[in-house]
Amino acid sequence: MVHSYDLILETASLSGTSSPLLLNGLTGFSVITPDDYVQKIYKLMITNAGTATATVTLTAYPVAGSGLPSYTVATISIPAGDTQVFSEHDFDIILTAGYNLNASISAGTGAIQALAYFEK
Amino acid sequence: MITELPILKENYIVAFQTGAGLLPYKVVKKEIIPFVYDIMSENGNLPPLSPVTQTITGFSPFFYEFNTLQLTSIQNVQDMFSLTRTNSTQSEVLQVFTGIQPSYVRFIYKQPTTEKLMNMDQNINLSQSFYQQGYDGFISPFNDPSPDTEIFVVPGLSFSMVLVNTVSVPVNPVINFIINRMQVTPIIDSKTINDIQSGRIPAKIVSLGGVFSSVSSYINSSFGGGK
Repeated sequence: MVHSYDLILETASLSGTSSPLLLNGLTGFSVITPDDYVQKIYKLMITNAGTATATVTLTAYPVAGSGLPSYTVATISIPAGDTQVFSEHDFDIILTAGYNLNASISAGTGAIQALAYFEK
Repeated sequence: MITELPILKENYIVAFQTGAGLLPYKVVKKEIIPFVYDIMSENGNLPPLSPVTQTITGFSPFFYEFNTLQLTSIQNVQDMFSLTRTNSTQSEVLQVFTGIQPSYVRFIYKQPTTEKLMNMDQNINLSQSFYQQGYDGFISPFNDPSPDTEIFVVPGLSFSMVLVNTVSVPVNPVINFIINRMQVTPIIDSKTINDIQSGRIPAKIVSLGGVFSSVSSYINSSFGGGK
């Protein structure tokens, strides 16, 4: 059971460069999955601010120096000017220890917000 | 749920093992007090706990030892679990259970307030570099404190706690204490005490403080301390 008080809001501006989603609310901390936990994405809101349909790529990105590989966890097509919301029922994004969530967009710009939680 | 906690009731007997003898009491009255405790705010408006293993400017350390649990923002109470109501016929005792949010914060008790509980031999105890002990909100959720977190407060013997943030983002923990405030009366008849010790009279026998720490010197003498 996910408690609302355990949810963490992560945000990023989308561009062609893969960027980490950062903690929103206190400061811009990277939300790296700690040891003993996995990070699960509970809800996702993605905006394509561009003038053409674009693909948003979500990447599991390892902490610097860990030697872990990065890998794609989801690719989502968003129409021009549209905002779409996804929930846990639509996807199953799980990041293991040492990983952050990165995002990029194939054309134009946009924004992404994720509600995430850590689970043992 | 409160109904699933082992709450002591009227006429129950609770006997405290202090390291210097058994102190048995009968419960006369009780009152349940759910108490949401904003621990950082009530202890001088402390900022959130830093991410695990870090101490970041503008944030509290990720590993934080409270000497007492204060209520400074509402009544300037320096130790909310300090009990003074005691005499030879009636005293006050608290039975406390603790839930915590977010679930990522781990805690252990300190009782007396200078000594961490859950120490083991070979100097195994919670520290900045070893924070595997204690309870977190997965074991004892905010809205559903675990019976495992039971701790007793008697006159003269308060408790405090250590908090540890175990995740990579700052957190602002909030605690939910379920407090069973009891009026108790001492059992002084030696035969009855012997029957309690032998198990002939059912009673809840409770250790106060750590296994090898003697807490009798902390307990108010009128409650039975200093034996």
